[in-house]
Parts: sequence; C-alpha cells; structure tokens
Amino acid sequence: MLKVENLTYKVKDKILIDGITMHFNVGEIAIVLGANGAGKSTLLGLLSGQLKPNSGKLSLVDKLMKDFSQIELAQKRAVLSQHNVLGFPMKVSEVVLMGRYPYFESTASKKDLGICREAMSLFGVEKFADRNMLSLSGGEQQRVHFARVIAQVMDASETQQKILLLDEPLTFLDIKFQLEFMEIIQTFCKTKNVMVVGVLHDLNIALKYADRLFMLKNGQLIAQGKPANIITPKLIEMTFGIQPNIQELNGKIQLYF
Amino acid sequence: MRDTVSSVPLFYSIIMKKLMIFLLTLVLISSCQRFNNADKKANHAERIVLISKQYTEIIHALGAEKDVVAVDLSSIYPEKVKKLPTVGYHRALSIEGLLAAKPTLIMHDGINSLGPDHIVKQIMDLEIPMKTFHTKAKDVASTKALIHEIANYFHKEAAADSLCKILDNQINEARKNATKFTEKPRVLVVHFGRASNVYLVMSNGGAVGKMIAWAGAEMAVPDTSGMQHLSAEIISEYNPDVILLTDYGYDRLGSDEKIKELPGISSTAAALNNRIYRVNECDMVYLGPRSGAITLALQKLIHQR
Amino acid sequence: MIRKNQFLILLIFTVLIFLISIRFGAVQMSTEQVLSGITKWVTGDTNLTLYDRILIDIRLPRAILTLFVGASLAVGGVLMQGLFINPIIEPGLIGTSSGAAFGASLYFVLGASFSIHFGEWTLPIIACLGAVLSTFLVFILSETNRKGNSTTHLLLTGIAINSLFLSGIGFLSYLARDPQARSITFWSLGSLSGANWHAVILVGFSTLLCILFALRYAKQLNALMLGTTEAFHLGVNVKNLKIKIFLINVVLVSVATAFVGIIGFVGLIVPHFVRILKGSDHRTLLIGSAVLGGFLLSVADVLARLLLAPAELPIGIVTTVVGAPVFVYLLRKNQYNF
Repeated sequence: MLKVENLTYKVKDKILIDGITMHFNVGEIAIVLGANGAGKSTLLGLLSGQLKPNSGKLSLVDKLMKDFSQIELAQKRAVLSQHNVLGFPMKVSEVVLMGRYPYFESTASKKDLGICREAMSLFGVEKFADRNMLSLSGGEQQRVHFARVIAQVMDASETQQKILLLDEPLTFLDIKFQLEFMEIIQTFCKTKNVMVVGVLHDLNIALKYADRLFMLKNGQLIAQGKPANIITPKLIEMTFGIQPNIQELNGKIQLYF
Repeated sequence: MRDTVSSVPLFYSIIMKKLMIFLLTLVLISSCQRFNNADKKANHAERIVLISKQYTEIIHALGAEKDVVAVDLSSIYPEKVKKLPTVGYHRALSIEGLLAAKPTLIMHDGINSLGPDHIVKQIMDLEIPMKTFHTKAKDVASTKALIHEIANYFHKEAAADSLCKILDNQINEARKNATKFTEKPRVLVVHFGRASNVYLVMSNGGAVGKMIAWAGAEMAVPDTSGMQHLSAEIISEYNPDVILLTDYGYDRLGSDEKIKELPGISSTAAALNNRIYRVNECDMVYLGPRSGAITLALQKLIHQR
Repeated sequence: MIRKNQFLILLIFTVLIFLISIRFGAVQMSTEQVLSGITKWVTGDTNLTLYDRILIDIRLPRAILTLFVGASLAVGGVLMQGLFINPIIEPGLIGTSSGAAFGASLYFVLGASFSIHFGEWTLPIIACLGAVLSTFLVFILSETNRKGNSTTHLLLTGIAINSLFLSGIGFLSYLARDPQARSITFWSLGSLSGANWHAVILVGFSTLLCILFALRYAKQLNALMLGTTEAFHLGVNVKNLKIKIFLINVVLVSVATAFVGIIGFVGLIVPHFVRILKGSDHRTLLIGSAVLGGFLLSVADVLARLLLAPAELPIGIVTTVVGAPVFVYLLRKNQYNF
C-alpha cells in the first residue's frame, strides 16, 4: 500500500499541491482527474520521487519514500509516459532490457531475461526482438517502451509491492490500442501485486477502467471513491467547468458533453 | 536528431575553414614540385643537408656543393638548387622526411630557425651531426668572415678570397656613388602584400637596412625590431620617397598603377613621383657574396632619376 | 556470431595497419631492418644503428601513440554524444579542443616568460589546463541557467566559448613572431610527429584508465539515451553521471590533444560507424569505438606521412578532408539502419 499524508508542494509562493491525503492499494487502478493546471502532473512527479514535497509524508508499505535510495526507488516504481524518443539505433530486446537495469550490475540474470520476454509478449513485440528500434513505426516503438517499463515492475509480489505510474500514456495512440492497452494494464494489475496510479485525459476511458477516482482542483483533493459512487454532474462541473449528461450502462458510467 | 540544428552552422564553418587550409596546402604543394626531385648523389658517402638559404648561397658560390644532397624549401639561389631534393620548409620539418635524405651532416644557421621544436629535439636525440658556423653576417666585415669560415671548412680558401674581393669592390663602388647623390631618399620596404590594409614592413634591423644605407638611402622605418605590421595611416605618415615591394606582393597586385591606389600608399611621395619598384624578397633578407651586386642594383633603382 | 566476427576482423585490420605504419615511412627500410630493429628493442640490445633508432625512437612510439589517440578521441565522442543525447556532438563542439589550443598558443607565445617550468611537460600541462578551463566554463554556464532545452543551451554556450577561445588564439598569433605563429598553426592542424615514449606512456595510461571508468557507466549512458526523466526513473542519478562523464571526457581528450594538437572529426565519425554496425549499447559502443578510432587514425597517419613524403601533411587536414564529407552525408541521411 502506498500512503500519502498531508502532501504539500510549493514553487516559490505558489501552492501546487495543497495538503493531499490519499492511499493506493495493490491490484487496483487509481485514476487522477482534473482540469489543466489542477496539479495532476505535479502529484505524479511527487509520487515518482522526481519532485521533493515541501511537507507531508509518502510511504510504501511502512517505509518512507524519501528513505529509499535511487536504485531502490527504481526497483519499486516505474513510470509510463507518452514521450519516449530514442534517437539512437538499438535492438528492441536491448531497449526492453533497460527496464531491468536497476536489478543487475553488469550482466542480466536469467530471471531478468525471462521477465523481458514476458513483457515483450504482453505487448506483442517479441517478434521484433532482434530488430533495430529505429526501423519500427511510431506505434510499434511506443509498445516496446511499454514493455520496457512494465518489465521494471513485473516481478512484484505480496512482500514486494510495486507501483506503476501512468503519465498520460495514451495521448498518441489510436483508439483500438488505447483500449487494448488498458485491458493489458488491468490484467497486469490484478494478477501481479502492482498498484496502478494514472493520469488520463479521456474521461470515459478513465471511468471504464478506474477502480477508484481522485478529483483534483487547484491542488486540492475534492472527491475520491469508486466512479459509480462519486460521479455526479455537479462534481464534473466543479472539476472541469462544463456540465455533462450521465448515463449508466451495465454498472459503468458514461459521460456525454 | 532534435536539437542539432543550432550546431550545424558552426560545424559547417569549421569544415569550410579546414577545407580552405587544405586547398591552400594543395596550392603550395603543387607550386613547389621540388618534393619530387630525384636524389642524384645516392652513392655519396658524405651527405650534407642545408637548412639555411644563406649557407646554400655561399657554399654554391664557393663551388663547395659537391656533397650537398638536399636543401630546405627557402633555399632558392642559385637556380640549380631548385633541382635538388628538398627536406621541406625549415620551420615545418618532418623527422623522417629529413632522415630520408640520409644526412651525415645537417647545416643550419641556428636552432631558432628550425621547427617545430619537437622535431629539433628528435634530431638531437638521434645524434645526427649538426653544424652552425659561428660568424653571423651583420656587415661587410662579418660577411667576409663568414665566407672565409665556410671556405675553411670546405677547403675553398682561394674561392673565398675572390668572392670577398668582389664584394669589397662592389660595396666600395656603391659607397662612392652614394657620396655623389644630393638626395638621401627614405625607403619603405613592404615585404608581403597586405591583409585588410595592414602592411608587413621590413624595419631597419636586418640585411636590407645595411644595403639601403650602402646605396645612399635610409629606411623609412627607423625601428630595428624586424618585421612590423603597419596600418595604412602610419604608412602615409612615414611618407617614404621610395617604396620597394617584394616579388610576392608586387606580382599579386600586378602593376604600379594598382599599387599606387592602395590606401596609405596612395598619398606618399613615392606614389606621387612613381617611385615604386619590385625587388626579390630572397635578395633582401640576408647578407652574402651577392650583397654588393644587389646594393648596386638597389642604388640604381632608388636613384634612377 | 556475426558480431563477434566483425570485431575480430576489425582487430586483425588494426594489427595490419600498425605493422604497415612501422614498416613504411619517408626513410626507406627493408623488412629485415625493421625486424632486426624490433628484435633489438625487445631484447634490450643497446648496439643500435641509425635505422634501429628511427624505428625504436620514432616509428614505434608514433604508431602506438596513434592507436591511443584515436581511441581517446573516439571514446570522447561517444561520451559527449551519450551525455548530450545527440549523435552529432564531438569534443570540438563544446570547447575542449579550442581550450587546449588556447593553452598551447599561450605557451608558444609567452612560454619563455613563464615563471614555472616543467620542461617538456609544460606544453601538455598548459594545454590540459586550457581544455579543463574551457570545458568547465561551458559546463557551468550551461548548467546554471537551464530554462528551455538544455542541449540547445549547451551547444550555444559551446559555440560562444569556442569563439571566445578561438579569438584568444587569434590574438596570440597576432602578437606572435613568425616561428611562434608557425607553431600555433602546426599545432592547431594536429600532428603525431612529436610522438615519443613519454607521450605513449601518459596517453596510454589515461586512455585505458578512462575507458575502464567509462565502461562502468555504460548502462547508465544507455538509460540516458531515453532522456533525463526516463533515466531518472531507471535509477540513474543524472546530475552525478553528467559530472563524472564530463570529467572522464576532459581528461581523455585534453591529454591526447595536448600531445598531438587538434584532430577533428574522429570523435564524430567513429561512433557513427560503430552504431551503424553494432547499435548503440554503450558496452559495445565504447570498446568498438576505441578500436575503430585507433584503426582509422592509424590509416590517416600513414596517409599523412606518405602522401607528400618526404614532407608530411598535418593529420588534422587528412581527418577533416575525409571526415567532413562523411559528416555532411550523415547529416543528410540522418537515419540509422542496421
């Protein structure tokens, strides 16, 4: 379990994250929603350790996040984002192996290589393993990067809980693969002991896959809970400034604007 | 490949600069076919390499050139040395290039005129014999002394006597002529074209100052510190009566008319009175057996009106 | 298998060019003379002919120094390209070479008036100091103000510092007398003709040590190719890594440059070739570039010595004439495929 207590982050005098308390569970997809500038990316930056909070605590199971060394941190969490560009030629299998870099000194173990294979097959890129990354299409390259990031947290267990952060990874994908990707993440999250915390742009995809939602406004948490329990036209208007129509279908909520 | 754009112009400019240097080198090389000259003295036991244009001239004048197998690129007098193999420019020697001439003796007029430094060190480390004559030719007496010193080394004393006699006679003749002139023109010797209107000018220190004095004139630049870069303004302030332009710079500009239009020069007495003449650079920079003849020729140029 | 073979072939070619460079020179020697010279060198025989000494004191150190310098420059290129995540960077672009050249010019023009002297080490030491100064200026100036794209910022800072030091060199050559000015030109075009055993030992030591250090950071450099944020997520302390790689590069390039002057394009072209052949994994990239750099510089040096024999071309001109078109081609092609 990842616990966030009273987290505050300021740049000069501007408060970007204002005393947020929340927690995330293994096997659960948590999605953070909010308008531009609400503090979603800042929150993700704090969770990944890239930004240091001004006050408040972050703890994984019972250890404070700031007590992890950089390598330990890299063994605990991975971040999937949309801007992965590799300007150098490299074999696909070498790129995926980078996800295991925090785990070995100079040579990859059998376990690392096995995990890489598993990650590649998860995203259907194992057939490219020996190809030059730069010879793949943009979408194929993106899937290789997904495999790399997943490989980083693949070996989570009950005693070794791990976190997968999603930093708007769907932005440049077409709709078919957006859904495929979320299905893969959902299965991955349920079967491995991983907690997924993500920022997504598409509200309906968020509602479809989120186990819990966190609504941010001006750096403050204004609502949290299961989508069915908290989504109301009023909350959406408060968060995004527009009024939706809400429909429920098979227990899933859909929004129309 | 993002972020590369800004670096591109600099890179191209570096490339262009280096390519220019390369082309210049090619031009230099093609202009001196002397690199390909064959060694026609391959069977000589004694093999002397001369890295001093002054020694080259004196040794040839003495008829002592039997064992000279190679010279440096600046040795261009007498004409026949241009047919000898060369070891390159005296300040840009290459060790193997020098050793390829299989020298048993290297003659040069001082370590400071050899380069680059590490090559000099390599020659010394390999213990290749080197010889420098003690006498430095600064005036008539020391020029004669140098000729005699070299002649003693090669056992050509008789030849030295006659060279010195000619030198004495010519210098005396020039001095006698000089007393007859009422005018003592101020002469500016421009060595090397010009870049951005800055002129490389010979000052009063070296051989040229002596010869101009013997010829009954004086150097417009009184300073004795060797070559100087002078701006156009200073040139017109010196206002020389006569300008001597060395071959390289003269030939590049092509004609007296063009030279007279140059900023700085155009307002001088020399330009107004058409007293701008071409001289050979290699005749101006050291004293030797021909210095008397050269002085007489200069005298004729300077005082021809 | 194919990859192993490529490396083996490269090694064989490197040994071959090494043999060629000690066998041929402006001084004609027979194979027997070369062999007897090497035998005497190995056995420590002190009864040496002039030919033995040419071989032992001039050709051998030069051939070995060439390998080390080529390796240094190529690995320096790999490190800079990895560090700035940009495949068209070389040490010359971020001030290292111009700083070294400035230090050397300072020595040529004002060396006589220095109060501290280290004998024949003075030039290398001052050139190193110049390289360290310029590179750190670029590093510090581009680090303290990191708004916007840091690579662009760094390149622009490099251009500014480069021109600053180049104009410093210009000023010194203007002050210089003819022989000093010649030394500056000579040095800025690069030449291996100053090779001796001191240089071989020092450059060899720095080359091997720096490559070993660099190999320790190969994995981190790989991660850095994904960008600084991704590298951080993979557990790389980016700032720390940058400083270490910078240090290794400065030592590597400035020690080599101090002895041989400025030799361009090796640091740019060699890593490109290795990437095309073997990809960008820094473990193979570093080792492959070291060997290929040594090989290519040896070829260039043999050309520099033999094209105009008995005179010698500055090697910087050879590498530039070959390197510039290749570089322009790579810029236009702008894509790797292997």
